[in-house]
Amino acid sequence: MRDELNLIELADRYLRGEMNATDSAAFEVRMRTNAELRELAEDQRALLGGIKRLALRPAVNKAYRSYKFGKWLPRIGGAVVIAVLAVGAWMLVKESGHSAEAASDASGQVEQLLALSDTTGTGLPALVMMIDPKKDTTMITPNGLVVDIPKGAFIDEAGKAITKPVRVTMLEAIDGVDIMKAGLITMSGDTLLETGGMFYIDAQVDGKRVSIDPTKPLTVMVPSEQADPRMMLYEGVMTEEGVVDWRNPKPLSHTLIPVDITTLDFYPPGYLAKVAELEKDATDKRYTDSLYWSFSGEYARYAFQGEAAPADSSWTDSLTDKAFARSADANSHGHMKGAFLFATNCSSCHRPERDLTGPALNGARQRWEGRGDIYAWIKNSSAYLKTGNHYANELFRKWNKSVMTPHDLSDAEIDQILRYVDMASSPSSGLMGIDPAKVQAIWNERFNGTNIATREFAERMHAVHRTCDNQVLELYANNLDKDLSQLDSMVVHMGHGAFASFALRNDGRVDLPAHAAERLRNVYAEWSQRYAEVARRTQEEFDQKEAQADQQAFQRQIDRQVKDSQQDSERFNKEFNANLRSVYQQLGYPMTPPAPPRSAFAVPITNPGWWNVDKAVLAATTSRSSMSYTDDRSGKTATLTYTPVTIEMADKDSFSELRVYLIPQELNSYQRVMETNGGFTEKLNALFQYDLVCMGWKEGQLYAASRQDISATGSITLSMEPTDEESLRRMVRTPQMTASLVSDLVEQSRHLEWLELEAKRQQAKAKREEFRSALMAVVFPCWGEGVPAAEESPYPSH
Amino acid sequence: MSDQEIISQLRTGQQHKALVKLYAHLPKVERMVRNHSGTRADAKDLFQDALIILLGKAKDEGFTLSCSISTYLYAICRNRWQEELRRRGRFTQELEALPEEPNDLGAVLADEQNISLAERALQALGDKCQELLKRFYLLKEPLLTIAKSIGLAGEGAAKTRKYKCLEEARKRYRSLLAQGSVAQPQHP
Repeated sequence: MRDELNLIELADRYLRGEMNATDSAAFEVRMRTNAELRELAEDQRALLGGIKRLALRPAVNKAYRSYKFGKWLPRIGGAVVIAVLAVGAWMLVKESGHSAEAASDASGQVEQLLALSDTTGTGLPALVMMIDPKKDTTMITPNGLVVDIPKGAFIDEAGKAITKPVRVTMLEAIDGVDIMKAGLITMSGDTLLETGGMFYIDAQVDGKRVSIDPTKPLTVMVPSEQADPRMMLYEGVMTEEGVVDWRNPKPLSHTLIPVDITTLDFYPPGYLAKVAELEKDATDKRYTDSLYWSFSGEYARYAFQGEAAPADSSWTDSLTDKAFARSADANSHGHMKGAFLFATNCSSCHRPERDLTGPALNGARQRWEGRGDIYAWIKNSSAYLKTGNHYANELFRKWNKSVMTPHDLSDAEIDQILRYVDMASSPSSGLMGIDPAKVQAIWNERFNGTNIATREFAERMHAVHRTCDNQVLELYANNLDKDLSQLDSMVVHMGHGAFASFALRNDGRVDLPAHAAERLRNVYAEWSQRYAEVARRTQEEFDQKEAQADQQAFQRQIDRQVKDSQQDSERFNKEFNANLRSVYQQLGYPMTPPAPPRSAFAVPITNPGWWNVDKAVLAATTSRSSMSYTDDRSGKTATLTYTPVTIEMADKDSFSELRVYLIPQELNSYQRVMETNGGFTEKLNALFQYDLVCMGWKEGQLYAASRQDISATGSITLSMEPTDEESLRRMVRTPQMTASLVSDLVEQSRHLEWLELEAKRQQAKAKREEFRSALMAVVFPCWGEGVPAAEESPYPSH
Repeated sequence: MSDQEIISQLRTGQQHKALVKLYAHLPKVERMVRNHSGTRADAKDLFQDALIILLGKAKDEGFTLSCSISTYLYAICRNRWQEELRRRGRFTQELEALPEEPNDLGAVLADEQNISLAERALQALGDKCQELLKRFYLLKEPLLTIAKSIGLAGEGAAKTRKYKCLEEARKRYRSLLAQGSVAQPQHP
């Protein structure tokens, strides 16, 4: 050991060149012969080199940090920089509003820090500037900190803005070495912090520290190599041991720059393009807005209710559960099909969850359980009423005897609808799209200067539309005082992975005074509700009107049909009796006409023989064909003659409605000539003298033509002339006709007028529905998702 | 800043600025390393070692550059990375040869491996040991002064401590050498 120590000593001296030439030569000789010594010397040499290295390394490391930092520097000056709310950074200027005691505490700490930095000898580079507080000032420190001091930021004890020049001192320790030198340990409690740099700002007037107006905070932009999302702003507090403990971490973020909200686009993606495609003016924002808002009515009509989240914040806790429950519901394919069928068949009179023209439909299946056949009821309620089903009749009475229009639906489809309405009114609601009322509530000047009025949010808004989840929008709208990135993460947790890319951008917020966020939250809640309510009411009123019109039209058609068929069977009976009378006369039978049959098909023919004549006459009357009957007993022959006539008129196709009536004068009745194969053809009974009247409607104008006593052969060509009801009345009236018959005929013309209006209404309705349904898929991106095209429907069609 | 200016800055106290400047050559090394199974961190270590070599050399009055600093740094990194790849058993990867190489590269590299192992051995020592050795060998402070400033009783204590530190370092260095025997350069 002793020996080795000596050897090391020797080797040391040799390597450090401290030996004289003789000793050195002798040492070299010893090394050549002594492998151990040689190895020792080699090692020593390496270690010496290592020591040198060790000493040089810090300089190289330090240079590396500066290099990295320098690399970042040119990027400062862009809009996105890390901004730090100046108040509260490492014992900045004392906060105003504190008690005098607290203020003096804070200044004590500042002094200590100053002293600390001074004793390091090398010290931190202190930047001292006299600034004019009446102007905005921006300074850039040697390490690249950018400090922005708004005018009037400094206030005196009375809270008045200072006008005298302010002496601003800044210290910065951005680099690890500087931090160590300044004796600043990066500890927070017991946790070691990775630091992105520390800075200190002090402002004094005449040797006295001044305060910062909390409404005009200084902004310090701290350069950093990359925006580490974990980086936070800590407040430095001097502990009793003279160590700075870093407390009250606050997240850093990219500040957002609000723009004029009306210049942003919050529409669903592709909305404007679709509007333009449908040949409407997509550049007129007032039009596109009101069109978009109107879809809130559609939203109220089809979307599940009970979806609106309560305004308080506790709801976020259950977000994930809800989101899961909802996605499970919404995934079912039949569900969307049900929604679709409901929307197209039922929604004009029904809602799943509340009464409209008809009752709320949820639970309908249960209510019908054991009381009747709900399928038959839905398919054709009038028919089902006639079966005398007690529950059906009870419903009919309860709902003002309004008739449910028949539905051409299969049992499977009815099942889909009933499942949908049951699920629709359950609180875990389904997806369709974002309620335009909710968008309207935030898309106005009131939200200027908030997170909402930023390009960053507009980008998210497009993604929000794609989620079809109103709760996502609620989350952003209700948390204006939070960083966008924070909300992004919550959205990701709600199950919308696409928002991860937003969360990673670390976008911050537009700072709002605390009360403003609260106020705007209320504004949002109230407005979105109000807009939705107005849109819902408008939609419902519209729906109800439509439903009423539909029902009235249905009723009117039915009434007309009933009347027409009564009239026609009357006319038939009269003609039958006339034919019979004529045949009896020809055969020489006494005129004992049987009781007139109740209808053409209910003539009792049970007794052949005597009734043979009647039977033949009935067949001829029904088929309107000529007949020749020879009686077995008398050998006499009776004939009935029907001869065809064709009625022509010019511009037949230009009329929206057209009716041709034959008026057999002897019967005091009339007979409609149906249009077959594009022409009006009927057979005339030779027993009667026929008048002809033709009426049509075109563009709200009545047209008519008539011919008295038409010949029983060939064809007749009429020319239609515009006329009015009075002229029509005069036209058809003949001495043989009763007044009520004339009125009946004239009433037919009124029905024609109504038919034309109704057709126009239906046309407009169809057009409107076509237009809106073309937009539906754009306004509500999840609308119709999973609704299969007809040809690939897995459901039985009928 | 010309190469010569950089060298003279490295020599004087203003080495920081010069070093920062030299990091501009790091990306090229990073590309080379990352194209050949290395990471950014590998490249950084390699490059920093090269910087230290250059820094050490620059302190030498007699040192003159036989090529540009860029080539010098790159050549060191390239050759050491080649060595590292061999050590990792990736013989297939042959790095692109340089058109010109610094004339003292062989000597530099010969020492390089051992010195970096020695540095690692020394880094494992306590702060006091490192401080002592640095002060003694580099700053050439008298043992008595060193004893006072690091709180040792006297010259004797400092000498014993120095011996113990060195011995410990040598022991660690030896074991590192044994581990990395593949890479151990052969000395004549």
